Amino acid sequence: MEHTRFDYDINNIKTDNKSDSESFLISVNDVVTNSTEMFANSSLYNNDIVSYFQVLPSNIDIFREIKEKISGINNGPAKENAHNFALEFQNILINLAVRNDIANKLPPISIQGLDDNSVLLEWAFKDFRIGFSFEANNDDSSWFLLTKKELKAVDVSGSLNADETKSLIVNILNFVLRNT
Amino acid sequence: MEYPEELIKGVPNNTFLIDNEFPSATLFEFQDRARTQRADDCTEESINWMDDEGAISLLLQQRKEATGEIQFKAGAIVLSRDKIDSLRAKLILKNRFSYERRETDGNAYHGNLLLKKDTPIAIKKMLVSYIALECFVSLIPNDNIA
Repeated sequence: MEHTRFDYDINNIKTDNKSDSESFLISVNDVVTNSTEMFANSSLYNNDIVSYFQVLPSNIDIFREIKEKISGINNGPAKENAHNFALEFQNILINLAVRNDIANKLPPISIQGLDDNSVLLEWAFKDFRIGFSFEANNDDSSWFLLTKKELKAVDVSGSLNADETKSLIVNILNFVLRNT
Repeated sequence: MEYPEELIKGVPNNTFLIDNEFPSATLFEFQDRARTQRADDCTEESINWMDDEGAISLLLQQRKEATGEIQFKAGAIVLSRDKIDSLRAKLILKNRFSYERRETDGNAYHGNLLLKKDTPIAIKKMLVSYIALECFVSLIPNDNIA
């Protein structure tokens, strides 16, 4: 793929005004292996490790728009890939059991089927945006994180390689939680 | 060619807005429409140049030919040309992303954002999200909707 791959740690992109940010740094390997034990004592997560979806009312579930709209999208393979990705994202959030007061600040991820047969998951915040673009040919699927100058005007992107999905989601969650 | 500081893009409905406030990247998706084959091998997305306030009223009163409905029910997004220029200067977009003024019948403000067709998909997707995030100035609601 021709586009630039930015391999540096997106967690280096952070503002300086997040008081408790260091307390919830997530290790990718920890999440992949045994997240519930690792995060039980973190200030950002529920100590009793209650399911994300058991804890959150539907109006603050970040996947609510995906659940509402995905059935109306007809972009076959791209839709399936987007759905699988959302499920993996959901499972990681369940494992992390993000605290209600923090989860409450997170906007929903939007989903759109586009005319080029791709599906875009867009997570929009005031100062940054995250996109997961699923194409008919999954080798062309990509993600990106863009920030305004308040967050150093960084753009980071890469391929959506299934082998690295978990680590990508965890890194992006770290960034979101630090900067929300 | 002179260009004003701002340009506007019509918003067909609320599905192109996030929280009814900010533009979704999908509003700026470049489409490779058969009717817009160009000699410069670009895809285009229509905009109006904000030469004066008339650009807004013309856009917001625009109606669909087939049904007579207001075309941009959710209003218009104002974009900064300066920010668009910053994007154009990015290395991965250089010589790929540009704009033009192209009047149409009845619309002297009309122009296009242009993107080379051979731009990799991932860059296209990042570009439209960047436009939505970084170039967004404001949303003008459409008061012509009853």
